[in-house]
Amino acid sequence: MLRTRAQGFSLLEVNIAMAVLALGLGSMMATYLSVGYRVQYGYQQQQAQLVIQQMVAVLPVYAEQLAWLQTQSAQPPLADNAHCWRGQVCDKRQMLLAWWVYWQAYLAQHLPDGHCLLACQGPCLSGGSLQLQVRWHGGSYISAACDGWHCLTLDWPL
Amino acid sequence: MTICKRSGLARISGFSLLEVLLSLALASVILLAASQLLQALMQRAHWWQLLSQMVVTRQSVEKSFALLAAQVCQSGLIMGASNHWRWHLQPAGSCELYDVRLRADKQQLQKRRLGGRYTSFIDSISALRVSYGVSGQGDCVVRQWLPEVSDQLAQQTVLLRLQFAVGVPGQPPVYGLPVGWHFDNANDLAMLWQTSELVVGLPCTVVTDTKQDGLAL
Repeated sequence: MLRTRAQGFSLLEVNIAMAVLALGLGSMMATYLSVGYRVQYGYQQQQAQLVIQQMVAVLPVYAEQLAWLQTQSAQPPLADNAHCWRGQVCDKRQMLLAWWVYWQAYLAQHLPDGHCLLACQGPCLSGGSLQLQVRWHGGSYISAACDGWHCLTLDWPL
Repeated sequence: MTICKRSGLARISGFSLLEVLLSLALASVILLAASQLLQALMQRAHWWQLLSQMVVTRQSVEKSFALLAAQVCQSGLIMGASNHWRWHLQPAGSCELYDVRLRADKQQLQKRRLGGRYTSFIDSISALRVSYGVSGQGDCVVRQWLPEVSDQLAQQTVLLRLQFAVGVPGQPPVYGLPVGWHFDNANDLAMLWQTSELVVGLPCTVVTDTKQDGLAL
């Protein structure tokens, strides 16, 4: 009696090959997505840095008004004060508020759920410390450092 | 493929025409899907490359500005217009007058020592708009933003606000550009531009015996 035997891969072998192929493709996609998220995150960080740099240049000019701004920023909506950009003379508080509203609008436009926070460690006076933080939501691939938010923080002695 | 012998006749049984056509159709669909996926991935990778390039270009522009601003000396600004200004700089030792201007056709920011020739120090820049933050009563607090300042107001200028666009060569992605980006195909050179902004502080000394105006808080 002649016994014939099928010469081919067994089901187990085929399944293992498929699993290896899926793992390979999966890891390639994961690497690809990871690179993409990092590029995106780097871009978002740069947007946040742009605002922080402006704050560092502008806020010392209005150092005496920061305590007032902190109380105001906790009570939105804030006055727009757009006329302060068009050559009109504004007082310190109006000008500082115009900047703050501008930064908030910029962050909201350029970062997902982007906004900035201002907090004083102790009194908002000379000798104290001011904390500036820009927050936004990003992809879940990169762990968020600030209570579920991506953030950029600057501690700044007054 | 098997060979059957029946009644002395050899018959080769293989794939039918329908099976072959179906297999080809399936292979075509798979190839088409794979090529679409690959195309999408390539576009995304190209965009990421442009994004990285823009990040680096923007950082270098900001760094160049920061280095220049760190050299400002004496009273700082002498005169300011919408896209050029004159200020005191101290690049090496002595404090001298320098002009800075945007050369729009070459997309360059250029500077020169007074009486000298303009040289470029920043490339790939356009749409520069300068605003001058003028203080009121010698207290070094900006009360007014002006598009240009005369000699007198230049002395009271505390902050320089520079709004501009930074460019990298490239094509926009098919799914659109982010906020603050635009595409320009002028001069046969496809460029992607991103708006940016810098605030530069100028030297200022508080005049203590100045009478405060009514707006001071």
